[in-house]
Amino acid sequence: MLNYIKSELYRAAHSREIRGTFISLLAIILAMNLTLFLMKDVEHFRYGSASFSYSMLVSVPMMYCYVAADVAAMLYESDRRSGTMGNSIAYGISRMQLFAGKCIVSFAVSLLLLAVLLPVYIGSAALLLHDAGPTTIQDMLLEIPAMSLIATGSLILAVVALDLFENRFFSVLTWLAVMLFLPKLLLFAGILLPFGGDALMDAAMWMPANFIPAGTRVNMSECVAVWDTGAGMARCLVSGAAGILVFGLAGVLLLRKRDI
Amino acid sequence: MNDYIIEARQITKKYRSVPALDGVTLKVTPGSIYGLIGDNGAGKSTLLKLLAGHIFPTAGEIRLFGQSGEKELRRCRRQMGAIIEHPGFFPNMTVERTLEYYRIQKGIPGRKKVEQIMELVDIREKRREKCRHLSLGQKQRLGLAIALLGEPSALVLDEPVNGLDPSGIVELRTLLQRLSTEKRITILLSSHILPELQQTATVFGFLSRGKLLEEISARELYEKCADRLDIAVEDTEKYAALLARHFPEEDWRVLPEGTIQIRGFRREPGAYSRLAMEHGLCILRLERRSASLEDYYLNLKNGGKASC
Repeated sequence: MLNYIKSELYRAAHSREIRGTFISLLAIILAMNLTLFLMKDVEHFRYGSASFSYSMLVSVPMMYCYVAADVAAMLYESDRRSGTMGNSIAYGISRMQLFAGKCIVSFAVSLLLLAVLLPVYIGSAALLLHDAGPTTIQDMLLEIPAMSLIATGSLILAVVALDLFENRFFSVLTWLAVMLFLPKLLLFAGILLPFGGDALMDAAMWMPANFIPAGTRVNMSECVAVWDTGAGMARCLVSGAAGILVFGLAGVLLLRKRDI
Repeated sequence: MNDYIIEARQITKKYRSVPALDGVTLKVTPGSIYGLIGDNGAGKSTLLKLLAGHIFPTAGEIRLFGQSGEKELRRCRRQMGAIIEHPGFFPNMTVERTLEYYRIQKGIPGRKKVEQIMELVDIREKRREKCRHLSLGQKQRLGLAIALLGEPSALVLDEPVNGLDPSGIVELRTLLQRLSTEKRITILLSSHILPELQQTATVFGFLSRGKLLEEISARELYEKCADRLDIAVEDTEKYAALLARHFPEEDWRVLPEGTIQIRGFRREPGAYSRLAMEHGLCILRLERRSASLEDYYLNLKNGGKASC
C-alpha cells in the first residue's frame, strides 16, 4: 500500500487540477484581503478589518468539508472510468488498500493545501487589515481542530461515493444528501414525530449540518462558535470520529467485493 | 514448477441472473501464447477481467501460478501484466510521468526502467505527450508498457491489436513472440482478428455464449486444417485404388457423398487429375480447400464437427 500511496502523491504533485485549485484558492484569499484593504478607508465601509476577513471562514466551517471532498473528487473522479483503478487491481493491490490509500492521499493533499493557504490567509489579513472586531485569530485556529475530524469524515464519504458511482454528479448528490439533507430531514422528522421524536432530534443534533449552524453566530458584533466551549469542541470531535467510523465502515462493506 | 500459469476451473460469472460465463475451464501452460477467440458478448473480456481481479466469479476457482485464494491471487498478480478492455492511464499526464507513476506503484527501483520500457514498445518519442493526445495505437503501446513494467511472468491482453496500424500489428506480434520465446512470458490474449491470432498463438480457446467450446494447440489446428483437395470422379472406387497404388504416401479418405478428399496433399493438383485421365477416368470436380482459423471457429461455433 505504501507504494500505491507514494505513486498517488507523485500524481498529485503533478496534477494540473490540484495545482489549479491551489492557485485559485490562493488568488481568492489574496484578492479578498486586498479588496478589503483597498476599501478600508472608504466612508461607511465597515468591513475593512482582519476580524471580518477571519469571520468569512469562521462563519462557514463546512468549507473545510467542501474543500476536502473536492480534493478527493479531483484526484479520483475518473479513477474507474479511465481504467487506472483496474490497473492497480490487476497488479494485486486490494480494493481495501486502494480505499485506504485514496483516503490517506486525499487527506495529505488537503492538509498540504491547508498548511499553505491558512498562513497566507491569516498573514495577509493581519498584514493588510486592522485588528478591530469580534472574530480573532484564535477563533480561526480553534476551528481547525474542531473541523479536522468532520472534514476527514466528509473526505472518506467522498471517496466512497466516487468509488460507488462512476459519475461525479451522482457522487456529489450522494455526498450532499448524506452530509446536508439527511441531517436536516432527521431533524425535521424528530420535530414532527409525536413519539420517539426527541431521540431522533437528539441524534440529528450530533450531525455537523445541524449542530454547527445552531451553535455558531458570527457577525460584525459577535463571534460565537460551537467549538468555543469544551462541550462544543467535544461534540465536533465525537461527531467527526463517528463520521470517520461510519463512512469508513460503509467503504469497507460496499467496496470490498465490488466489481469494477 | 506449476503445470499451469493461469487456470480457470468451472468458472461461472452471472450479471444479475444472466450468465456471462458458464462453467468455463481453461488452462494456460508456461511459455505458451494462448489465443482466446469469440464473438462480441462471448465472455472473453469477462474471463480476462476475472483473471485480472476486476470482477469476482459467481462460482468456480481461479488459480494463478498454481495458487488460489484471494490473498494468494493478489500476490500472484504482481507477476502479471494486464490490459483489460482499454489501456488505463490518466488523460492529463504525460507518457513518461504515467510510466513513472506505475514504476513507483509497482515498487520498481531505478528510473532507467521507464526509459527501457519506452524503448521496448517504441513510444519514446511521445514521452512528453499527454496520454489523451495519443492515437489509439500509441495508447495500446502505452498500455503494453504499463503491463510490462516489473517484468511480469504472464501477460493478459484484451484485444491488444485494436487500433494498431498494419505495421503496428506486425511489431506487436514480433514483440509478443519475442517475449514468449526469449523471456518465457506466458501470454493470454483475445482478439477479433483471427488471421493475426493464428500467426501469434500457440494454443487456441474458443468461447461462445459463455462456454468454452474447445481448446486446441496450434499443431492440432494445423493438422485439422491442413490444405486438402476434394476430387469427384466417375468411378470413386477405381480412383481410390489408383491413389493407393500410385501415391501411397497420400492421406486420403472417401467422403459419404462419394468425393475423395486428400488432406495435406504433396503434389500439385494437376498430378491428381492427370492420374485420373491417364487411366480413363473423368474428373467431375477438383476443388482445393485451404482452411483457416476463421473456418475452424465458424464451423465449431455453428455446431459442426471440430475440423475444417
